[in-house]
Amino acid sequence: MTDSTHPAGHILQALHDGELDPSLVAGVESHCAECEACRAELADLERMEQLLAASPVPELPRTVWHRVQPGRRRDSRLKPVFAVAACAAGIILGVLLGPVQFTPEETGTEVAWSETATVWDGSATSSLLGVYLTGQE
Amino acid sequence: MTDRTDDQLMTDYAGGDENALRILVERWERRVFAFLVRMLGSPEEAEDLCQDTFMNLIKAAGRYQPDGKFQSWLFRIAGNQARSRLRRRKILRWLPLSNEVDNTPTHEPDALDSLAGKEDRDLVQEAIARLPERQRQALLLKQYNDMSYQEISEAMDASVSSVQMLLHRAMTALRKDLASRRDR
Repeated sequence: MTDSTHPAGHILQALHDGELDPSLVAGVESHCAECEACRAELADLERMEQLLAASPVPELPRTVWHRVQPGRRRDSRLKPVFAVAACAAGIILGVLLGPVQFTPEETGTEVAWSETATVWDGSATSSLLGVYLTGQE
Repeated sequence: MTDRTDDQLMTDYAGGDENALRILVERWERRVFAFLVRMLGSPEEAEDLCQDTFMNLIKAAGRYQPDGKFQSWLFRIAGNQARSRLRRRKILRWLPLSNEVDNTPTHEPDALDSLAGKEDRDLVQEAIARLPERQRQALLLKQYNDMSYQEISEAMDASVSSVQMLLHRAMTALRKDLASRRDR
């Protein structure tokens, strides 16, 4: 729209969609009858609508009824966001509880793996995490 | 199927007729799914949210007013689901450990090269996917659900004049987008 006397684009759109205020329809149609630019605009809208209509409809692979009917438990797949949150929580817990060292004396049982297992002492962590956990630079 | 209207089915379901709910789901699920696929670009997510939409319908059934606006009401639920999912995607983009599949259309100029030679309808779908959420929502409701401006305004909790502007901007953006791709 380069000419301010033309109807605004949303007015032409509404006319094309059959949604224009009835009090404006006659005036806009009268303008379009004499205005090549506005007729071209309406023709463009029509072409665009035909393109949109030609687009394939996505097919639902199976009914969702069996998953929504009352009394049936809904699909309880673990959603990715919860999986990520669970992993993050596990890592944080691991970091916080990692330094705790269990010995046979404390547990009262002989633990075969305790002789070979490497107990985390903070030395193998990144320097930043080490500073955070030990409070020493 | 049945000659019962959506409102009658909702009333019957509220009265304990579970079969009425089944008819409603089977009557609307394909349209809800198609809308969600076009909003999200992901059939898998759309199927999940289609399920969630009807779960929410069940929860809210007691509050439904049978005033002939079932479609607007249903697509309001579906639209809220879709926009909530799109917001979550934006948040997840900042999570380094995220394994969420991001189906958000790319705006990378390099990605445009691969579009050369595609059919018009593919280009149209991609152009729709690049529209801002609300423009996309309004366009889909009008184009593929034959909803009036008034019905769309109810589904989107917006004024009719806002819907008019959203649709105009959506169509203008689509035309520019398609024109720019064909010129490449």
